[in-house]
This record gives sequence, structure tokens and C-alpha cells, in this order.
Amino acid sequence: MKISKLAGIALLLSACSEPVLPILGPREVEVKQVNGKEVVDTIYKTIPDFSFYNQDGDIITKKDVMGKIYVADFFFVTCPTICPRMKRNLLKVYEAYGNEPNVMLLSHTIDPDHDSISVLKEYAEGLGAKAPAWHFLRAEREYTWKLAEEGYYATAMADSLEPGGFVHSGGLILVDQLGRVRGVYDGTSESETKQLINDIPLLLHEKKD
Amino acid sequence: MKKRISFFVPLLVGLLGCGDSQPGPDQMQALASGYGLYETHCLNCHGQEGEGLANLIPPLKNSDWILQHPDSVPYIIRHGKQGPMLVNGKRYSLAMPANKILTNEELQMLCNYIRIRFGNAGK
Ligand code: HEC
Repeated sequence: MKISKLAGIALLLSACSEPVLPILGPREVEVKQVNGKEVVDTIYKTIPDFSFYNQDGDIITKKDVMGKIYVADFFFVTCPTICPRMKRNLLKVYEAYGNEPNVMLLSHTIDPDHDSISVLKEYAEGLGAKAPAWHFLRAEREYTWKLAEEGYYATAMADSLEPGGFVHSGGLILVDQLGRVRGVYDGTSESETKQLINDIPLLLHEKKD
Repeated sequence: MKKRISFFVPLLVGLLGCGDSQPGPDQMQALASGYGLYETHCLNCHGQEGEGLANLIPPLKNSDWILQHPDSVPYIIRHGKQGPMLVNGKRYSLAMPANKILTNEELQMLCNYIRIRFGNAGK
């Protein structure tokens, strides 16, 4: 997990009693002049724009997720190690929120050479997963790896020493309505997945300010 | 760690079988020694309870395929399996990767483990 490397982890302490999830990732502080007074504004990093094909061949962009809460992960269909475990846990999230229109799952393949749209379609159907609640996304590999690294603080790349030929982190990344990363949960762990399922309502109740 | 593979493995694997020819003098022992292997090599896909994963990865628990093909089990563990198969009436089509790392002894232990743990011993 790369979180330690990040510039800072902000924990917002709120006045109200409901717990608030931290906003992860780097942020900038901007000092503005408002009515002659100095005002400090914190600007949080958000997920960069993106564009992928999903399992139905539809184009999915950041526009489709803005204003919604989503869980992102990186996987590949032939992955012999942690992916089936992550998918087993993601299925629980899907079972809990598949009918909630403001929650989505985005599973990005890091091996588009093998995972064509039709392969992703078959995989999604095997899981019983349907768009728009659960998208299986495909783009060029370097594009996806870069987004993983820079947008989601996850690792995804080719590595011939790894079983299956790729290394990637098993994180389930929780993103809020404004495109900010609010949590990274170990997708191979049942208890962290439970935590994720419990945390989603906290974001659902947040105002989209 | 890829020692001891290749040449004679396919031959031996054919002979080992996963049938109930070995009643297992000590089933507890088989469960104990098999669990670590299962955890390392199979659990990610087939699950903690051998439940499989949706319609992607078939269950080992009460699998009619294992009952009907006991001798093929070590073979598919070693060589993997491509293409669709029917398990308990459901169709699965994801590929299972070959496992070239397990020694023949370990393969035998795993087969015993699956048979005892997931109720594939036959009647
Ligand atoms: C990468 C995921 C993966 C791993 C790891 C894996 N399997 Fe499988 N296994 C599968 C899939 C997928 C199938 C179905 C193959 C097909 O449809 O052709 C399968 C089929 C089987 C079957 C026959 C069908 C059934 O369920 O009865 C057995 C037995 C089996 N696997 C045992 C094992 C054992 C033992 C291990 C550990 C050494 C193992 N598998 C590791 C994915 C996996």
C-alpha cells in the first residue's frame, strides 16, 4: 500500500457526531484575498478525467461517475492470485448496493491484450454483474496503469516474475461524489470489505458541496 | 523453485489418481498437511469453503465432477483446464491455470485433502 508515500492524509474532524472519512492524497493550500482578508482554501486532488470502454462496448467517462460514489479496483481475468478473492468481496459490495443508483463499481482490467470487451462481458456475466451498477473497464494498458498510479494511488504493471505476469495492488478504492479518494480497503480481506460496506453510507449522507 | 518437474510427472500423475483407493490411515493428518497447500495454491480461486465463485469458478464442495472424474483431478491441477465444464449442472468457462510447482507428493496430499474436506470421497 502506497499511502505512506502520499503527501498527507487529511482527517477531517467534524463538529457533528457522525464519523467522517478522511480525504486521501495530496492537496494544495491556496491563499486568497477576500474582501481584503486572507482566506486559506484547501484544494484536494481529484481523480483525473478518464475514458474507457465497458463490457457492453459503451464509453464510460468521469462524467458518468461524478455525483456518485464508486469503488474502483484493478484486476485481470486470468489472474491466478488475489483477483478472485477481490471479486468475491466485491460481489458482497454489489449485493449490498447494486440497486442503489448512487453507488457504482468500476473494475479496470490491467491486461487489455487478453481481456477484450467480449472476455470482460463473459466474466461480468459469470459474476452476475451488470452495468451501470458494475462496469468492467478496458483501455490501453499504459493508460490504465497510469490512472491506477496517479489517480488511485494503486500499483499496476507488467512483471514477468509474478504469477500471471502482472503485479497490482488488491485495494478497493472508495471515491466520493466530488471524485476524491476517501478510503483504500484491502480487497482480499473480508473484514476490510465489511468496513467498506459500512463506510459507503457515510459518503451517501454527505452533502455534495 | 521449479525443480523436479516435467519429465516423469505426467506419467506419475496418471497413476496417482484421486480415487478412494487410499482410505487415509489418518484423515486428520491428511487434513492438516493438505490445508496449507490448499491455502497457498487453491483458496484464492475456489474459496475458503470450496464454494467457488459465482458462475466463474466451480465449487469443490460436493462437486459431482470430482465424483465422476476422480482420476482426472491431479491431472487438471497439474496441467490446468481450458474451456467449459459442467459442475453440479452449472456451466463454467474460465480457465484454470496449470500448477507446475507442486511436487507429486504434495499433489497427492491435496487430492486427499479435497476428497476428505469437501465430501468427494464417494459412497
Ligand atoms: C486461477 C484460479 C484457479 C486456481 C488457482 C485453481 N483453480 Fe481449480 N478451477 C478453476 C476454474 C476456472 C475451473 C473450471 C475450469 C474450466 O471451466 O475448464 C477449475 C476447476 C477445478 C476442478 C474441477 C471442477 C470442480 O470444481 O470440481 C477441480 C477439482 C479444481 N479446479 C481443483 C483445484 C485445486 C485442487 C487447485 C489448487 C491446486 C485449484 N483448482 C486452483 C480456477 C482455479
